[in-house]
Amino acid sequence: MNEIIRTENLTKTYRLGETGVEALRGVSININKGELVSIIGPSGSGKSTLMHLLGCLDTPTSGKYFLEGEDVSKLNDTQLANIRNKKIGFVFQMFNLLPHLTVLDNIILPVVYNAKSNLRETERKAMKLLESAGIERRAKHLPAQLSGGERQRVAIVRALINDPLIVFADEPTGNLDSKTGLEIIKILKELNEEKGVTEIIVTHDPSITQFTHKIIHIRDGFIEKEIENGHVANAEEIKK
Amino acid sequence: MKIARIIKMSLNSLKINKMRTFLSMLGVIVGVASLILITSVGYGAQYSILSNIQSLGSDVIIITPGQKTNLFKAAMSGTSTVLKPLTYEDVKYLKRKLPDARISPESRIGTDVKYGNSTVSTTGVGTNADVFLVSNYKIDSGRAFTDQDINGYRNVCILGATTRDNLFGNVDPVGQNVKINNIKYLVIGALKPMGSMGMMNLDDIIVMPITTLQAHTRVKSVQVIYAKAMDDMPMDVLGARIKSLLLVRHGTENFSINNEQQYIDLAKTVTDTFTLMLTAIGSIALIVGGIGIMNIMLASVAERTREIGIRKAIGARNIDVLLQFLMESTFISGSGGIIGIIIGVTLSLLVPQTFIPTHITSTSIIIGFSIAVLIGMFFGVYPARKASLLNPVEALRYE
Repeated sequence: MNEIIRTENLTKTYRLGETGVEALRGVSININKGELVSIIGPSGSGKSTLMHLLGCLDTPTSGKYFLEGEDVSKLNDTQLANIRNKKIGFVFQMFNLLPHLTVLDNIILPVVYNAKSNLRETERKAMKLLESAGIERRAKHLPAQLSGGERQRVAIVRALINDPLIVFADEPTGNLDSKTGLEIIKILKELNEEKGVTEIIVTHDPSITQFTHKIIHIRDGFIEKEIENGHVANAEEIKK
Repeated sequence: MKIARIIKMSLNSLKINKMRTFLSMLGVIVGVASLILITSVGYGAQYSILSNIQSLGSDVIIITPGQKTNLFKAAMSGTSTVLKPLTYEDVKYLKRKLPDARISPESRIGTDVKYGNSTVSTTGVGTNADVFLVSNYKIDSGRAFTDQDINGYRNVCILGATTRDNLFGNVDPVGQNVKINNIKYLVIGALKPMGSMGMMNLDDIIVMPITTLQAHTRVKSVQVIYAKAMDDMPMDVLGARIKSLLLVRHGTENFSINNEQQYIDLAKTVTDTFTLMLTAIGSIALIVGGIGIMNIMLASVAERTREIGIRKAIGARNIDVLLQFLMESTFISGSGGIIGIIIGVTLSLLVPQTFIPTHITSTSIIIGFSIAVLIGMFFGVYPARKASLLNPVEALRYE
């Protein structure tokens, strides 16, 4: 199999004054190229911490993390930033678009932080992606002028602009009504099916997990169970 | 990341909160404007003093009462503690012994001059006929003093340009009578304008024979004696001869003999010290301005924690964030510097040159701008570093 992510006994302890809070207590997972994985668990279970570690936003207290075979658990801030920039895309619950930049500027922002990039070309690519997300006429608008669903589509386009190895979606439907939420899931699902983008969706909504290949249940910092989904619903079934 | 993009991003952030950007500029604007104004006044004083000293001619010897070993101390303490002053008798003695030299006394006293119904307050200068050869007094109309005017205690006077304008306007003063302390004087001439020295208007004078001045006022001594060799006697030889002659007359060396260069050096020292002192005061304003920028930038970093988190999540390195914020503070202080320079230059041009002469140098403009930029960088480093070191996970969580 084409393995992208492998972790060995990842732990993360946050220091809160004198005491430490163990958010993760030894997590070992494998994720292959082209997989759509959901991480599910109640709040406080450590699923967000796991996503932050896998997304190279943070480093583990102990354990190893191999991204494409490279041990990234001991990298410094700059090396991690470069990995986030080139290999990872994020979609957040709060959209996290910069309010004072236009939709287009928000989308090309990751490329701005890449010295070797060609911004003209990137803008063309961004317009194409916006078009396929059905919001190209919003390119010059500010995020505040967009609906929640539109903002999340922009966030997804931004996550894809650098052709990342893997896209992390942290509660991507958490701030949307259920209909719009389903549309967003459909887009993520189509990306996986049609373009083979590897995706990890962190959620507490069990209905989302039916569309993913693998379901990782987290509780109290442990993997409670890991289920290979035998009956993955495809994107076509989402509209029903 | 590309520098042009960082600049664009920084400008964008500053545009969002224009009022705050302006307020944080204000300290630097005031600081740079006052620095420019102060240095232009300082250089202006130096230039006008130097140009006037130099107009005396570098071959003039200046004799003052009192023994001064340190001209700077002398200038600071004044000459009021002189035990034995110079006298007009000294001048006459020197002229007798040195017939080939031009020797001119000078005594000054504040006085009122009346012509018709108008009265002006000015400075009476008592001197002799040699003054036109050792000083920059040039006759504009009428005639200069003769030895007969001096020796005959004649009530004649020559008007400085300002005094003439104030009393006579466009009327020719020569041949008119004015009253000084209720004594009638005949105006025999008027001087060409000489400008000002520091804050002193050199043309606001009325020149009369030293003999007449001493006879009619309480001034009995001579404040300065100027001497100049008319043949090819070197200046230091003349100085040595004057020194030995006065030593014989006074019995002790209670006078000082200097030349102009020493006064130029003194003037430079005094005005440089003055300028430096004022610059230090202006710099305090700049430092306060820098602290203001730091304050605002810290607030800005706190307010934009989430933005920093987003930028980091999508791949901004610490150095990218650092540069962005550093660029912002530098831009604030740099623009503040430019505005300050414009205001400072405008103000120093607006100051009436007869009141305070100002002189703007390109050096002070360049230094003013550079200091402003450096202040922004220096006081921007701490907030920018704070921003760059934020943990992305915590920054994203920030509400």
